[in-house]
Amino acid sequence: MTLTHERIKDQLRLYVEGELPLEESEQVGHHLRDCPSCRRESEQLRAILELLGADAPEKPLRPVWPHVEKRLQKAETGRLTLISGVAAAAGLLIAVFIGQAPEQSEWDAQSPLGLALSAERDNVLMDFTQTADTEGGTHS
Amino acid sequence: MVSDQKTGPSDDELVVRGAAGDQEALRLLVERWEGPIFAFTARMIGSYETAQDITQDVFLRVCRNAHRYRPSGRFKGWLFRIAGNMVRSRIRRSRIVRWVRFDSTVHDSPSPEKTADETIEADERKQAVRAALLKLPPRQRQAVALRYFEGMTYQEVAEAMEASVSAVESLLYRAMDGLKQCSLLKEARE
Repeated sequence: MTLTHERIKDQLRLYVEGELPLEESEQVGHHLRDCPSCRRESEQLRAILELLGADAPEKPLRPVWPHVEKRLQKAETGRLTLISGVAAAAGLLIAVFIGQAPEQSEWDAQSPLGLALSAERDNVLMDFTQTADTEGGTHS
Repeated sequence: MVSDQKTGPSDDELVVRGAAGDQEALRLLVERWEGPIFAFTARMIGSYETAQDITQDVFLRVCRNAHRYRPSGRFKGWLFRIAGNMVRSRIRRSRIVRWVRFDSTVHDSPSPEKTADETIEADERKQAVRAALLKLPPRQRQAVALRYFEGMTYQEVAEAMEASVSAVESLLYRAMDGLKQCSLLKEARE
């Protein structure tokens, strides 16, 4: 199979590193003789890989997983704390809300029926007061 | 690519298990890819300590967002996209790199076969090309690291960088042009 220009471009690094199978390596070699662009790239690649690739770090300075695991656990603990905190706060709010709930008459007073009842109660009280005043006057 | 490992569960399988809460699967995934991601970030940022921090953050993000990954055999592209974005973000925030010296004492060691002069010369060339690489704009640097050090195809680099193949070719062309300005690299080629 003949390699295309695009395929060879993708294979240049392996060619420069001598990792291509013999047949493919020969094809790339032929292509480089006729293609200035790929030839230039392979030369630059060789220089860069020689200077940078030789001492490439293969492992991190310290294993990564213990740090990641710790952070994940910390986040999970934080999430649970937040959930229980929110639940506790919600419970407290409900308790306070119930404890300071207005009396039934005040609740009723907010509704049309409550308003009507409230007015009726005021009338009765006013009538009672007037009656008491009148009776008091009669006795005196 | 499904997995770099010839045996054992694929990357996709591990991510799916991890998303379902399997910590052991996440551990395997991290240990499988921590080396390539550290190497990539170290080349991008020019400092091993900073690369260590970023590598940890990358895997933390991967673990937290495992449920967002759609198994398609393209885990490597997804992983390197996260890493590339985080490195570029760090560069933008800290304005670290116009010139950063690799903390070479951590990993570099002199070759016993070279004379002292040759060792010094080789070290100077390495430092010069590293400095030249770090002077490239972050996206050019990212393209070089993915293409030449990770050995990704143009298509894979394009996916990892959320760019077109022609855009990647253009980035690499300009990156090589930038590296040519490094005089010691020119000498090395001659």
